[in-house]
Amino acid sequence: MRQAVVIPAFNEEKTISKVISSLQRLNAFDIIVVDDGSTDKTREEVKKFPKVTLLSLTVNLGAWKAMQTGIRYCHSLGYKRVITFDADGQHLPATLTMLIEHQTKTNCDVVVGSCTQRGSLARHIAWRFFRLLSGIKIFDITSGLRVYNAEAIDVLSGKEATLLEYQDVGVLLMLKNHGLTFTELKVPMKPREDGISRIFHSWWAVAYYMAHTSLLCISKIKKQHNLILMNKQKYNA
Amino acid sequence: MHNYQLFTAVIAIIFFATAFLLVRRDTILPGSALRWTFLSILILILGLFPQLSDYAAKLLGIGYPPILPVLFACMILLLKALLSDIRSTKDRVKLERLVQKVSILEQAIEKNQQAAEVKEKS
Repeated sequence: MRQAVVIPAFNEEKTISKVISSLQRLNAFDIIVVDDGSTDKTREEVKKFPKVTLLSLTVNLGAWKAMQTGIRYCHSLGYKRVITFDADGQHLPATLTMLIEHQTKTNCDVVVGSCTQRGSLARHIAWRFFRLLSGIKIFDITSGLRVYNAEAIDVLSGKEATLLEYQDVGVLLMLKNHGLTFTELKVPMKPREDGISRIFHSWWAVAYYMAHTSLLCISKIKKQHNLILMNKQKYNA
Repeated sequence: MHNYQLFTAVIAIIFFATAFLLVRRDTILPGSALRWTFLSILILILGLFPQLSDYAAKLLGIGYPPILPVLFACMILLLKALLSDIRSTKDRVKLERLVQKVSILEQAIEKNQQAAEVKEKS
């Protein structure tokens, strides 16, 4: 099965080489790095690995859209499985096999690698709040470590997904709307080696994120039920 | 003709002339040009005959007639702002998908070039 690891990177020159090397040791996936308009030497660092595919965005589009670029690339080449992986060294390559095994076992379209031990008290409150509001039974909604199958790749490559700003609740809600299933698996993660969170980099960003995601959850509630019903009818027919 | 009528007529004529000139010079898209022409004709009629708003206000039961064109203008501006937001969202999605596509194509070109170089060497 053709499978790839997609790594969105923005100014990650200090960690990206280490992340790629550790993934290459697994020798099981194609590695795709999406440089999200970095202003440091991230691109040059990635180019040191000839087997790694580098997609360079001319302008900074944000973490989700960089990730979507990789997903679209995989979609166009007919990849059957995509794993999204952070470039900051938080995720451990050893957990990928666990996630894939879990996907095969549960037969879910998406597996989220969760690590609820990380994050501040405020982040835990936000996680619980959005879990309640969206009705999504995933604890670590902001985790960037995810496994998507071909159906999920197809949904996430579409125009509708380009409207999203973050990878978390919006993506999961969209997948749910399309009748896809997801599960999570607790995995160990390392603390961030370098840089700051791209979502929670300032109090203003946190406030914007909270308001934006709340509105997204509320506005999609009815749509979600309708679409699930429609999908059920479609499958039953 | 009252002074206020002269004032509204001058403003309306200036607006109409400006809108017409912009349409003539192809500064705005044909679809928008039609909307602006229609709006400028409406403003021209109201500017030349401001007493029309008095009749309309009486019909609608509005106690202060001059507020009617103001309310009308506000509604149009709000609608225009909403339409502009919709348009800019669509344009942004298109632009972002183009940026994504460019990076994918750039990679394909690079790959092809590398393959060609390898072929040449061998």
